[in-house]
Amino acid sequence: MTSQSTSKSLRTKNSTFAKTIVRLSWFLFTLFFILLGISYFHPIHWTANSLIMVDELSLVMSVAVTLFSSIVLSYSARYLAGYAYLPKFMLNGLLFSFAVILMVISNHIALFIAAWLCMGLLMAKLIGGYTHTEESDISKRTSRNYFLMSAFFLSAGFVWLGYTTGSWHITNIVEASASADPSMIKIGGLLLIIAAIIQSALFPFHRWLMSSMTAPTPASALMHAGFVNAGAVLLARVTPILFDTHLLWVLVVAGGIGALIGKFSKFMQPNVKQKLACSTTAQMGFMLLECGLGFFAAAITHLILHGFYKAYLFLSSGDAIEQKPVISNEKEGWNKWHLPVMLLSGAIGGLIFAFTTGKGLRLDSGLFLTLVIVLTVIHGSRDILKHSSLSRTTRLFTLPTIIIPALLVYAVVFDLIHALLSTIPMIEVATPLSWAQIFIGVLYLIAFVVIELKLYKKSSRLYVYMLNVSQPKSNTILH
Amino acid sequence: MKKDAIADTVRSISDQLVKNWPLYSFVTSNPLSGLEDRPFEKAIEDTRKYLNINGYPSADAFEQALAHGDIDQDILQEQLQEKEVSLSIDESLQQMHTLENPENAQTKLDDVDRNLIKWLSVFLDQGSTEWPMPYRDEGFYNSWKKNAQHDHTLPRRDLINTLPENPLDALQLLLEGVQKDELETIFKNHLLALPGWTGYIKYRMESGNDWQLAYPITLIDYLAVRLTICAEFGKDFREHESPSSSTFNKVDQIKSAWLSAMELTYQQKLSKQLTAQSVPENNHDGHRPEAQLVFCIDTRSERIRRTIEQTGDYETFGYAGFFGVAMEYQHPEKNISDKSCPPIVDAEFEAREEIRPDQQEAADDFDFYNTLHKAFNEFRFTLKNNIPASFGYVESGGFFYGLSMILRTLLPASVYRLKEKAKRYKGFPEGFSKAKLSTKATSDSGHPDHLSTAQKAQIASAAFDLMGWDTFAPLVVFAGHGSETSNNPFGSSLDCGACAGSKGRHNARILADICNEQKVRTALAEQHDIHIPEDTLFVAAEHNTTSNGFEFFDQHLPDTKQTQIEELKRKLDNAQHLANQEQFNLADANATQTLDEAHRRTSDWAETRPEWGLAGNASFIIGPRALTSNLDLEARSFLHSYDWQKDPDGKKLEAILQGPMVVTQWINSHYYFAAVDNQIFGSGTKITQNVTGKFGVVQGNGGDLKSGLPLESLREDDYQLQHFPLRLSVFIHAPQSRVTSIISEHPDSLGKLIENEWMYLSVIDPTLGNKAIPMDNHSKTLEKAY
Repeated sequence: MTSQSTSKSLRTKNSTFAKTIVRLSWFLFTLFFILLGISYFHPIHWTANSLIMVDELSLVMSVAVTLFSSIVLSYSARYLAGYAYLPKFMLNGLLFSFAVILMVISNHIALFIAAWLCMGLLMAKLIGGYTHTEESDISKRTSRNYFLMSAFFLSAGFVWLGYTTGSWHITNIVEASASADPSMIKIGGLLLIIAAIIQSALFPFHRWLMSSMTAPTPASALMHAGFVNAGAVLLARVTPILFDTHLLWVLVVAGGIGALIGKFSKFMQPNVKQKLACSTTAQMGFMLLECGLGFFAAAITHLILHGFYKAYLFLSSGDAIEQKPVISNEKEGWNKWHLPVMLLSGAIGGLIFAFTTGKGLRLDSGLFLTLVIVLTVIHGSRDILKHSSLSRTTRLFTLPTIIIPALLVYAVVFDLIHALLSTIPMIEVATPLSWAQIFIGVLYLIAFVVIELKLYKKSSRLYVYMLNVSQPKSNTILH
Repeated sequence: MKKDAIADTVRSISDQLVKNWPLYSFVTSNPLSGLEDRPFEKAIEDTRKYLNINGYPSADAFEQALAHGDIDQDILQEQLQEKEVSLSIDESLQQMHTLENPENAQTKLDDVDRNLIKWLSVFLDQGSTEWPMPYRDEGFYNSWKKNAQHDHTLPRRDLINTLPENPLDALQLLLEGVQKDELETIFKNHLLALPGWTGYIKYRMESGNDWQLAYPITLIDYLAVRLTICAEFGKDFREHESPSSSTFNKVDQIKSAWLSAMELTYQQKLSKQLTAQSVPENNHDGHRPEAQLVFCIDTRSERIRRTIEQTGDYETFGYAGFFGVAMEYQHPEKNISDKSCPPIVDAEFEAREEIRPDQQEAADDFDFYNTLHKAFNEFRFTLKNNIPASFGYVESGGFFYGLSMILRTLLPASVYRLKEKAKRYKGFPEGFSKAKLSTKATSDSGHPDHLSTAQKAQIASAAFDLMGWDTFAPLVVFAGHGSETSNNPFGSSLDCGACAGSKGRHNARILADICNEQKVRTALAEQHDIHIPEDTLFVAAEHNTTSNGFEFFDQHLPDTKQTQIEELKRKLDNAQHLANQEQFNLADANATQTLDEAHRRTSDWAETRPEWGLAGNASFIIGPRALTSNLDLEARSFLHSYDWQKDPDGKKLEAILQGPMVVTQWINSHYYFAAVDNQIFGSGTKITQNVTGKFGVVQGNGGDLKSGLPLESLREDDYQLQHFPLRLSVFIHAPQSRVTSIISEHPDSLGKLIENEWMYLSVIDPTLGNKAIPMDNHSKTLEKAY
């Protein structure tokens, strides 16, 4: 047999296998989607020996992860066509979504830990198991070490809590911890928070994510849409503990600062994939911040929407070649009437957000999220207004036509997920304003002003610091 | 050390660096073009002193070729003997497999390289970052100095403050005590430590583009920074790991024999096919086809020309795809101009869109949508780069990203049709404006100097003369070509090579306009003896090489010809189907299926091999279409139309050899080297590529800037090659003496290529009954076979 016909028959075989996996994945998605639909009308709460517990959070996450993996696998079946490793890749991708599903339905800590570990090991394999270069082997080992570390903290936290409460089921642990020694519970809670922070690749645990570009593009998409989120799921499972032990401020501070560092380090990245990685650590920081404010449903909404956003950007990262003109000192068409329009738009945007999501109407942590939206709208309107190439009417007309639908769509998605998750204990409870929240809030306001006025561009010290913080691990760059 | 000596040495090494073009205007050039003054084999050997390259196809490739029957066993045996390899075919194959260069023999990057890459990639960035490197406008060396002071990864930062202002002074200081004869080796080692990045610096310096003007960088800057970083890390800059080449020599000898055998087998087959054709002595039979279509010499044109000729009474021609209009094109929607002529030619003209008086409304609409689109993109960019707006942006935009991700993955063909509709709604410059040519020198002053009728007639007559044109059909189509792919950093490598990686449409539009001008026709008749009938209409079109579809730029043509054009378009749809059956390997598919597949390929973001580009290219045939019209050349041949009888003094042939032939040799060499060493001369697999700075790619987490074609442009899959690396075989249909005299007149540009075996040349001599005569030493071994 000639090599040509060997290659042809292997290709056919591989592509048939890939198609089967893709179908299976879409089938799973459809199944979970239907279940989720049912649960909207008849709340679902299935348990099996209290090892497994299927509730709305499990279903929402399962729908999200099977959707991400179905798209990524459909894409990979074509993108990786011709590579001998295609079947292995597809299989690992599918197993990965199984592991996530297992995690979100586990109630026994052993099962949860096992699922968490499997996710990590499979993801490490997706990062470095295919291209077989030295760099990718090192990246694989690096990320695996981080995942083992997060699994270690997860196990330590759960075992500690289990030992303290005398129970090994997550629901029971949460219930029993209300009456247990608060300082003991606090230690357990802290260990879980550390596990979540490592999993979210938050500064200073972000190095593996910066070094993970040895992964085939679709593996990165899956990582950024489906893997880094596990921390939020973990926290959502143990919310009452975090409330009772007053640990939320840790998430506010760690998430808030991690988001700032991630965002700033993104500013100077010339490589498209590293840019996306910096953005992910920032978005994960924000997600944990939302958790810290008591808005776990908002955090789940954020992780799903961010998953769409980031997976899309990875899958289209080849579009980044473009001949751009040099722009020096952009002329900004600034006018006196801009400021009131900006502030007015910000206020209207904030009101739309507050009334459609119910946040920010009282003096509590909800204000923080409303502040984010107000600043977003102010910035967005400033950007539209300065385009002197567009006529004034066009600019004034464009403003609401972009901003209002976008806010409404978010509100619809959020309200839907919120409604679905309403049976999960303490999934969306605004907390009273705390010093940590005010501190981060002020920090964000300062960051906003610094960025609007481009003050940071003057500091080469900050530039070099951020550039170094975001470099990949040096031994993952060899050729 | 004198500063002059330093600068001179850098300059002389610079000639040998592989110039690395930006990917938005991909140029397929010979990476070893600086070494064409020596034999092919010697050039590979010399490169190995600094770079651990594979210079020949892999043993696997040879094994495949042998199995396909692409290597004739008898020829192979002869070649082995000639190269003094005393092994049988099987033994030599075995030897190649065992002695082959292990894949990771490449020298690895060290701390110096990585630190330097960090700075190079942010300095050279072309508009992708929100926060560019501070002080960039002061040039690489000086801005590096100001920033590196804060780089805590450098062990001895105090050193930087003591450096002089000028990089040349710094080099002089650093090189104190170095002998002059050491200089070349030191510089070469350091410049070739990161050949991709230094190749791009070379491009920037030579092109002097806007980015270079705003943020200058030179090789001297590079060396000054690099040697300083060496000092920082306490590394002696004289030290260098030189790649060992001991195992290479033996395997090279065998491989060079196999390569020759593969090339000779191809030549023999092609030459037999060509000499078997009957080329009418006098093809001026006065027959007037329904239409004539002119295509680029590109190998892909061969397939579509063949299928078009099958569908009707059409005559086709091959001509360099820039249609002889050496120009830059000023984009109406972007503030940039693109070179649209061969990289070896300087752009003499500049083309700008001029709105047709009756189309002002359409132009305004287009402008409006365009501005809106641009504003929207900027809006998204600034939202993404703001704190905390980026979080709000992700939450409010995420849903739309999700939606378009599902559509692009599951329904790529429908996405294509949707985009086409949007494009039609928005309008396009080709529809409402006319591309106006002016001379480049004066257009800078703001007063475009339009071309005189004589100049225009000159451009038109050159085209018809070079192609050996005889009778004009009622409809003559100039078809430029361009590709259409999605999510593809190498999209421009699939566009027209004769237009420096741009699409050929604007050149075609301009030539068609010129030929339709009454004054030009009069001048052509009076001064050039070219008589275009009154009823002949010239039309511009573009051949989409990904879908094999055609776009016509005919909105403003007289109605009288509309029915003929419509008829031609129908036939072209038919030809598209036939060509696609072949191109997509779908022999049994019907027209709807091939069209769907074509649409998918143009817009599928998950497709890494949307089309094969020029993969497979192996020969360049210069002669009348009659020489090749009955042959299926499998889209492996460049075809240039030429009629030796219309060129008594050989001037036209000389122009073809100096222009198009040199370009085809570049393309061929690029494909050759990218295929034999994809790590160094190509860019590796697309699967793990990472676009950097909007202009290039790196692999994985970073490293050297890649140059050249990706693996997916050359390989079908892990087992099967699409491009078998063969050096170009040129066949010319002309008397031998004419070719000999042209070659001997240009020993430095043409003679060296043939003599040093960078390409092969044979003549098919019409005065000797179309006898094939090899003109290079190598092909002469085949003489008895011819």
